[in-house]
Amino acid sequence: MRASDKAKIRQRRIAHTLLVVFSFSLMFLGKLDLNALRSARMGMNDFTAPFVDLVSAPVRGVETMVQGIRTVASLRAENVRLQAENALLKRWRRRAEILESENRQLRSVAGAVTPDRRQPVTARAVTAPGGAFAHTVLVANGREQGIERGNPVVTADGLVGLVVDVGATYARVLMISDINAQIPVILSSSSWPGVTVGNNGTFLSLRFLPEEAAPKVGELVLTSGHGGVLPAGVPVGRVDLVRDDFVRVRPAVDLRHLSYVSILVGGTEGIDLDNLALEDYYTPLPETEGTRLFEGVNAAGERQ
Amino acid sequence: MTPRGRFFQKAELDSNWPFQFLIIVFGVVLAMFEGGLALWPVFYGATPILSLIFLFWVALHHEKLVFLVTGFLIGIASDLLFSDLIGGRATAYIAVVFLMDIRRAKLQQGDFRDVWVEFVAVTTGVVLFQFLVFSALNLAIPAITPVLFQVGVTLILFPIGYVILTTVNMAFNRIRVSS
Repeated sequence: MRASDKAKIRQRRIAHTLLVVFSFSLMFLGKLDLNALRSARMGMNDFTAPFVDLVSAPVRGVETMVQGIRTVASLRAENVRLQAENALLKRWRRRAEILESENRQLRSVAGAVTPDRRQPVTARAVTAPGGAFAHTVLVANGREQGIERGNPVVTADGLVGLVVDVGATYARVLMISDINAQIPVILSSSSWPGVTVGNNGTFLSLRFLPEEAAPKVGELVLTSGHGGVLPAGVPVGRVDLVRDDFVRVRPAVDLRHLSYVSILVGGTEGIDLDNLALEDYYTPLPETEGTRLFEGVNAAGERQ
Repeated sequence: MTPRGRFFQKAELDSNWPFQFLIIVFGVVLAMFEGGLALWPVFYGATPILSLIFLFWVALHHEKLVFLVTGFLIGIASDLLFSDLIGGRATAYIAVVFLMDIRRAKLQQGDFRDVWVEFVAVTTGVVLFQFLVFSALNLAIPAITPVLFQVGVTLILFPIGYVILTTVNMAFNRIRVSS
């Protein structure tokens, strides 16, 4: 073997080793959540998202076709179901009107502040979680539409997640089912606070509940509004399973069928979303015994 | 006499560079398509790893067209678009290309069963690597069911992908020979 060949092989080996080291170190750099890396990622997403959208078009087409066939096949059954649902909704509406009136009276007594002013911006979900290691989606709206990091993302059914990265025209949403998503919540009927944690699966687990809390299967779980990032009272899911200390929650939104979502813009003025001091914004337990938290109100009685 | 310039010459099809570039582009597009498959509720959270099938096949049959950087670029594109673990799949794909360099000669002499068994090991290795690194970095274990589903679907789709890629390759070869 000639000396030049040996040198070439050596150079190649060095290049390969550097590539492996670079690739491996990227995993750790990614976890450091560096601004530069985040911007680079969203820059690339802004550039590639239209291509992803284009490549996904056949998949979306087939899905639409299958849904169409399924709809036609189940039209009669669907009609019967809708009529029953309509009757139920009418009953619920009457009940809601009564509760609304009662709520208004209670608010005036308690001197509660009106809900946060947030503007909904509709966005199309371009992708869906494809891997078992991340539950995020790209949505076709970004900085140009006023989207900011930390904006909650909802549908008519409840909470989907919150915006974690914003590009010029696309934003990345961390879904409530992601392993990194921890949402401060309260149980609807008992008002006990807790935190839902995703596990990159279908369900969420409800943690950090006080010992006295006794969640019931079917009980609604709502955002508590602690921290001020998410508005209070948005449905997160329903308690699905209670076994010893383990409480499982089924998300209110069917995350597998996301097509359009609403991003709630605004309402986070004064909150440093990049540097949340938990002790200032999140008080999970009442300071004095015997008191319970209300939606969006911390232990000191202030609205968060 | 009619002048015959360079426009009438045969196209140069023997250069390796455009094919290497095409393989990277096709791999990235396949990674995008793979992410798009998640729009089907059945593949929600666990799409088959089509880019791995492609990378494995190309590394097995066209050794000169695949470098470590090919695996890296396909993997990093997939990571940036759909994963929380940037570099996880890229590192795993580099390892796949490296492994195929070692195992290629033996696999080319074996039958399809040997290739499939090798692919089972490769897929399990790729997913297990990501799983371990992800768990270590997040200090939490993700749901196992989608991980197993993803591995299972990928292994089932491998023979189909293998046949399709071989057929396309044969068609390309025929075009090249006839031209």
